[in-house]
Amino acid sequence: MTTLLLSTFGRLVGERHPIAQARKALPCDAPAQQALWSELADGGWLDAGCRDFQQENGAHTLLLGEITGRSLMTLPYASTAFLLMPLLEADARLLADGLVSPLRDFPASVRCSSVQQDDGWIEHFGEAAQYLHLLPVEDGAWRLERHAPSTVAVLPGMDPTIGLGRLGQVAVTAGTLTSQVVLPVLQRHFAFELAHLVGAAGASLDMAIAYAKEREQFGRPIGQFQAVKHALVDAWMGLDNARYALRSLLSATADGTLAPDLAGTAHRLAVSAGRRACKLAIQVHGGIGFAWEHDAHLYLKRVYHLAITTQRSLGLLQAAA
Amino acid sequence: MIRTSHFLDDAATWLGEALTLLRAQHAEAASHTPSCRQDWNRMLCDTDLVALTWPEDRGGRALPTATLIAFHEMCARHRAPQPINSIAHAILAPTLLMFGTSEQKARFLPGIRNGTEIWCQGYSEPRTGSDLSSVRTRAARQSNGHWLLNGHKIWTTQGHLAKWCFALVRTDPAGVAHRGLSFMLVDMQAPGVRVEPIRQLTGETDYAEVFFENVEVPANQVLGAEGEGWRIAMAAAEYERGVYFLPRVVMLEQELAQLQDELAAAAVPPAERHVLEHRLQSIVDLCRVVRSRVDKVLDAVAAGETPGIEGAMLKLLWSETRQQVQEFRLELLGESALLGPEAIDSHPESAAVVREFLWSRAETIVAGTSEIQRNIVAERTLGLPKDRGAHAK
Repeated sequence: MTTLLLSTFGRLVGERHPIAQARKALPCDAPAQQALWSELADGGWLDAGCRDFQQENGAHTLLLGEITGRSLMTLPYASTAFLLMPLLEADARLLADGLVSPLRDFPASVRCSSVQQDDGWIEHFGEAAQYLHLLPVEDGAWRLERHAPSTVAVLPGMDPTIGLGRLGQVAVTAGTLTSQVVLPVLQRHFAFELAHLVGAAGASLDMAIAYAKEREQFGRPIGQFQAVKHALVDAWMGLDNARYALRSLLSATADGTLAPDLAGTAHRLAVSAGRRACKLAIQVHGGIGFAWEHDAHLYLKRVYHLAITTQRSLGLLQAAA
Repeated sequence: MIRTSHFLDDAATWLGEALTLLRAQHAEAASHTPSCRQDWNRMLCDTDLVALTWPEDRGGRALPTATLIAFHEMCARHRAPQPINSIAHAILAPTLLMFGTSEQKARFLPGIRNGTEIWCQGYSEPRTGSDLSSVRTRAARQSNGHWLLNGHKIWTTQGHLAKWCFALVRTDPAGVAHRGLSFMLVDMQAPGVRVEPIRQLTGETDYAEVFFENVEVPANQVLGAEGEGWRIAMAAAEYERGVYFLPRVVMLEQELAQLQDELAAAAVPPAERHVLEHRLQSIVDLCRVVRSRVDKVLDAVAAGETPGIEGAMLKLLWSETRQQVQEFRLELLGESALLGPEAIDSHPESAAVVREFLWSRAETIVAGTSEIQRNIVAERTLGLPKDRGAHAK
């Protein structure tokens, strides 16, 4: 059952959202993005962070995240399925009060941060997405602010596959949530985002491994040289170490345990291994890996992007502990 | 007027004024752009601040190499851009002076000297990478004595801007590895030359692919003897490793100073600051060693020697240290590291750091990968067995 589940999700994402799709950096209202979003909704994939799905398939959150990372998903799937859907499940007023628009129709980009982390950068997916800011306020309370898409300023980002926006100072509306509701959800979303990072780095490294097998220099495949072979092994093991840490974090999350310590380990391992793998992938490809036409830089930029956004969530989890 | 007798004093005065003019046109963050580098090249040529060590009868000043070194150091300290034709000045001009015929010197040196002819270097090919001895671009001699050139070069820096290309070409089809190669000077406007710019991961276009399809190259555009290309290319590479590496080391020192300022200003918790300062110190130590190594190389060059193995070690250490500096700076940007290089208009400082971080990925690939440099040190200094395939035996 679970294998079928993963292969179904993997096929859907892989076929409908190949890297060539990521390169186009389409906004949510592009027909191809809308069609994929509908399929994700119809397939029940937007519920992946919710209680029933997690009870049955929670152990596979890591692989779901890796699949979205491998395809460099350019839809706000993580923040919709792993953040807002479970929050709506826990507190139906968010939808009833109109703070959050129906997620099936309006993919949601969410910035998770505290007021100290006040730069306000948010992933931007065009006017058809909804933009929210989740932040701790006082005494165990959290505020969810809604911002009008028209007030989000768009800037050129390092990751060319998704837009970069900046939230304005003034929110349209806001609601309140409790820490008991927010923190377990935030922890699972954090783990999913790290899995996405590991998936992106893993896809990049796989390309380098395949290239090292076929690319010849000095009359033999470059993967035959220990300088290349051993570096690839170290990078691969680094990512695999991160997977172990993520599994520990996810199993604590499934038990309802808040584990900022495990979250810290997972973040340090995933970010350092992810960065190393993506940089190595460019190095192993040589000149071709430095070209815009090659995918290596897209993975690198996504990994560096996520290293920053997950750092914010980690800070929130650690501050709440 | 730059007097030879007071060369460095005059040059220093001129540099200050000239860079003020240049900065009015191009911000410092745009120093790497072709238009800025072209303008700077023109200004240097117009002021006779080029060809410093060339003989006087070739339009030079016959200054000692030590003065050239001091001038380059001064330019780098003033954060001057790299002139667009630096490949011609660094690699080709000394090679022409050493190996060129009188006719070739008369034909090509003035264009370099006056900045009217930009050159590119046609070494790399698809699939050859850092193994230049596996060049496949070939030239066949025709009945009229000229050569017919066919092949494909890649990663040709400013190939789309260049008027001329100096290329390594296989002229003896039976020649294996580094044997049977010749050093050719190819007119980029000749029929059959096709250039396709390559966009790199910074989003900019500095490289090109160059295709040669039945390009006729006159016999007098072969430098040195037929089949002598490898020896000439290796000698040319030695020039590059010397004097023209210096600005990169000065740039590294300036970037390190920026990193130190940025860390001092960064809002980090005390415990974390201690770790970051420790990391910074290890980079400071590396930069000092890089400086000692470049000084040693420059002493050798000024004494008329070639840097040899020291050049390989310097390139290896410099490129990897620079990557560390740029990565550290990127981390200190915090959330602003989400910005791309194109954000130069709204966020110039952050965008420039992101651009340099992305660019620095190439440092360990271009001009001989780190893997190749390590092999050179392993084989030549440590005497370890060659890491080579069957074809080179």
